[in-house]
Amino acid sequence: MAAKKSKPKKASLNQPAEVLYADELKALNAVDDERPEGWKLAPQAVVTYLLGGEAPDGSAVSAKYVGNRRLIETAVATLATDRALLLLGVPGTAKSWVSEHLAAAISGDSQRLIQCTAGTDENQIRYGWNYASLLAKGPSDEALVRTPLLRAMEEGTLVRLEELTRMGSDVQDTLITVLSEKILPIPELDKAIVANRGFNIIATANNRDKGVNDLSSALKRRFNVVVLPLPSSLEEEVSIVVDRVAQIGAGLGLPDIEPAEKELARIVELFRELRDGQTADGKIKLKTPSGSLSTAEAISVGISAWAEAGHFRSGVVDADSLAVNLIGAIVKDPVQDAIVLQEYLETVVRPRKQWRDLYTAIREVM
Amino acid sequence: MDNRLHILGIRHHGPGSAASVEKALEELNPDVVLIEGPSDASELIPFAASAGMRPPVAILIYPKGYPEAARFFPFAEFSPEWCAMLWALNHNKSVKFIDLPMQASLVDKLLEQQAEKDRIKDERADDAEAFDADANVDSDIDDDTDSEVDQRSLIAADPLNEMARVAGYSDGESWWNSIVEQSENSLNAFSAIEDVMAALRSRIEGHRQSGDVAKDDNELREQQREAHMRSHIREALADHDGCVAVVCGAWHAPALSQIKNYAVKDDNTLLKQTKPLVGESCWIPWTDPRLAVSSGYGAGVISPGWYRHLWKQTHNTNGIDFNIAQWQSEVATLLRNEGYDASTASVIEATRLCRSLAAVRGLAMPGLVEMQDASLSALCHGELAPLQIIDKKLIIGNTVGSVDESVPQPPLLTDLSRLQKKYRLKPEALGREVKFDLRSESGMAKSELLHRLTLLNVSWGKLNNAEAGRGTFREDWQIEWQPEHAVALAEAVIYGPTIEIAAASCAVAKAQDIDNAEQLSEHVRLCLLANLPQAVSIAISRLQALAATSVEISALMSIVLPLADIMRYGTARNIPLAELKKLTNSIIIEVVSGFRYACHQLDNDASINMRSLTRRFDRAVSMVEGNHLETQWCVALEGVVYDDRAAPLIRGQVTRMLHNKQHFDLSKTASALSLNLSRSIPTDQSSAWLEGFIDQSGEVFVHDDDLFVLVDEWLQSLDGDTFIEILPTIRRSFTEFDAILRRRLLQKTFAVASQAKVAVLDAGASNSLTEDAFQSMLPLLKQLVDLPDE
Repeated sequence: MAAKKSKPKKASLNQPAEVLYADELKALNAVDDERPEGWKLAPQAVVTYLLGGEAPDGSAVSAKYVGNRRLIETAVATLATDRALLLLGVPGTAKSWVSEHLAAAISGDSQRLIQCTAGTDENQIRYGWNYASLLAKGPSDEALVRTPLLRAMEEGTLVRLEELTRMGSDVQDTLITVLSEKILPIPELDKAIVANRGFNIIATANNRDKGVNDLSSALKRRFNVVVLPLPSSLEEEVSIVVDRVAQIGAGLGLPDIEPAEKELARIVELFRELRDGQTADGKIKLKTPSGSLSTAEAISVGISAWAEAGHFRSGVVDADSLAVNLIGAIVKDPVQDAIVLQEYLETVVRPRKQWRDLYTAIREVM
Repeated sequence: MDNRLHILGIRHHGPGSAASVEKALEELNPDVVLIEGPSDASELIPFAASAGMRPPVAILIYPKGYPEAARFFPFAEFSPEWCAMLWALNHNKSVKFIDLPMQASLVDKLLEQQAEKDRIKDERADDAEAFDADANVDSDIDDDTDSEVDQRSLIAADPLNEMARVAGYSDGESWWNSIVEQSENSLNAFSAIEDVMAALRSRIEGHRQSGDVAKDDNELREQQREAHMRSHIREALADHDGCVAVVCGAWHAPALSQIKNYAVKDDNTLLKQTKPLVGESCWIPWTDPRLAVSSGYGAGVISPGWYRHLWKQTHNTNGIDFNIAQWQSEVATLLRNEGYDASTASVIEATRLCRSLAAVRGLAMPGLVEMQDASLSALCHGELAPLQIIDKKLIIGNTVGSVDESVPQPPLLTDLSRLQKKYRLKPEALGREVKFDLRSESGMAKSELLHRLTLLNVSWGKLNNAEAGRGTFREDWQIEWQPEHAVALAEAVIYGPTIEIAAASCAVAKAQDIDNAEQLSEHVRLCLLANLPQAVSIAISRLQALAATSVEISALMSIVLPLADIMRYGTARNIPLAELKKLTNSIIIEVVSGFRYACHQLDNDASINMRSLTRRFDRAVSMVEGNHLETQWCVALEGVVYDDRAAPLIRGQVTRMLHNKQHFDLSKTASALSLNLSRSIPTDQSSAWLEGFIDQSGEVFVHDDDLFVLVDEWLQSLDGDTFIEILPTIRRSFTEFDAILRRRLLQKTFAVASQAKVAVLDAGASNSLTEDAFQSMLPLLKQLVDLPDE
């Protein structure tokens, strides 16, 4: 779970944000301005890093998050106080993405991460023991196994808690003392770790999924909450998908293909219509599928269509390469969702002349 | 520029401007203060300093005799004009409004609009469609306006907001603050703003010279206004030796300060074209929600609540954190009142977040946006809903101003505020529910007051009928004060000087005007509720006269029930029972004698309407005391039963009514039933009759054995062919019942049928044959009552 610092010999599948955007971070860091203790960048620079703009030396900074500026400013301002930040939103609204980049920009390390699951226990949040050492020598500092949280407190960095509400409420409550008093008592050693300046927590949580636990109210009061919405307009969502597909595809080393903006826009439009349960012009009511069809899913459909087009087809993303991937993304429940897609195909896709190829392609596969 | 002349260009209702104006006046100590405001209302200024004046208040000004054309000039405590007035009054300086007085064109426009409205109403009356004439007139006006002019006047209304937007500030206030902070003193700030405005004006209008011809009416009016203000300024400069301070919208500042550039002759030519009008003006209380919309100057405040907060901050020195905390704890208090958790700890966090947000955004002072973002994140856990709930109270505010008692007010308004005080009914801008117990004297008086105001078109209170139905001695009202009510009261002054007198004479006038029986009976009810005996007796006698001459029996039928209701339930009030009873009786007699003919020649819709009228009328008759009426009613009904020209639906219904009243015995009902459902009668008529007979009350068939047996026996008496022919009729009538009822009817039929089976068995018929016959009958029966197979 702890981040591995050693550099892997083979090319890694995904680079952490601070490595990918090292140049931008460096450019933004060049300014000599006031910043909270323990921060690698000034708060304004962090906002610029996330939303894009221009570094003081004139180099361009790419936008990591496309959306409401006020939300990001609130998030950064929260971290600048000693309040913890909770990013809330439906699946696929870039919660983890924002939290990774915030951590990369503020602490220079986005890898201090605890993935919360139903199986996460207190030992994985606070600290564990090296049992061989514990049995041989008894409780001692050497026998202590540090969690990312403990390390972050000691070193004064950010720690990310992914999917906070997936762990039980009782385990969540472990965080209360850490959040309100910034200390972590270790009774076995009769001492407490006091967090250094720069320490803070960014948690993400889902507010729609079934099967998650409630956020304990004691904890809720200790977070400032920022709700990340789904992209408000088609154009905004398309631009997010196009950018991300290009980044991820390049990162994966996918074969070069013709630009596929049009096809990606089609995916997004289709996803939005199904998600909203009505066509974009608001004239036809539709059934909604069981999946959430988020922006993140649209991106993954784009990537796999790219992969398919690059490896197995002429190198052009077209209706045929989209069809299988679209069905895979939409039909999560073989009975219900198939009906949804069927209805959508017949009532919406078929009458659209420009979508004729898509209709035939999906029909062939289904 | 004359160095004695100082133009203070401000944002209307801008707290920052107000503070700057206060400071500037202290520095200048001018002999005279001139304010952009209607010059014919200048004599009202001295009242502003009275002890009882609590903003928001407004100057109401209307052409004599046309209160509908009223215009308002609202002032909040943070309005620069208000501050300037108070400063001048407190320092014994002369102070005057210098804008154009009320113009004759206002009345012309009003009359034009009314004519237009009437025309539209007449046109639409033929179509008998619900139609909102007001909305149409408004949209017509909107369409006419040129978009270019629109943009120009938009900028002219609040140019500083526009500048702020360009400069990247969230609103004009923050931009103002930054200008003031950058300048050494407030006078410099004003001259900076004047420069900006001069540049802005020359951009928008090109280099317009004095004496140029105006492009359109709006621009002409603008020029006239500025000429008028200039002429007053010249006068003031001539009359006084000291400084002259002019408080006006920033937009006008350049046109007023460069007074030498405008020739007196040109200004006089402009002013000659104006047509001032004798206006009446007075101070009236204003409300926060009304401050939030543009009116008068065309300058509205988006958030009176926030501006009030800012205004308070200009007068304390506790520092930014204190200011933020004050706002956030206000948010928390409102949240708590709505039942949300909002701890003090969260207020502290919200304050800190707000501070750091302002820093991230590079602002010296957090604006409303930062405050809202911080509240959302720290106090509302990111949920918008709680913030939206308190939004109105927080951002808009709920303050209603008050006007000092010594200030002359329209007489009705004075009377109302006296009554409001007496009955402790505070005018509130956001709605509130109040309950009156009519058994108590004060409850009755309050109810009467609200009813009287309703009569005067002042809908301060709305009666929640649903609640009122529960008891006869309690009334639930929703009260919400709108500044328009002051206008309505000003209009009503033609009826009398106090609310009671005005309401009474207004009610009498209306009673004599109404020609429609239904409206008149409603009016009687209103007058009774408002306790206006004179109007009641006039309305009643008018109603009687109408009833006697009216040929519309259906209209008469519809008004009896409300009247009967009043007599039966109106005991909590002092009402002229004898008169009412006489009226009701005479109408009932009228209806009873004409009822039979009213049932003739009705088409489908009309007979359905008549059915419900008959039902209501029947209820009314049974409520009114006096047996002889009921007997006469029954006789009239019996006449309808055998009248072939009466609508079958009504005949069926009437037969049933007579059966229920036990006026018809079983045999009579049975014969009427078989008569009207005979084979010879066309199916549509017989089915209508049956529908009327069943009278939407299938439940009774399950419980009333007599009725059930009656229909059952009739059905059994039919031979096979007749039964099949009449089947559609029966099926149609029964489909009106819901599925559960139909099932219960079927069960009841089975029960009766199995009794019959036992009887047959006893008679010694062949066992298997009967059983088979019964079983084979079942599917048909189910189909008949429209039930699915199980």
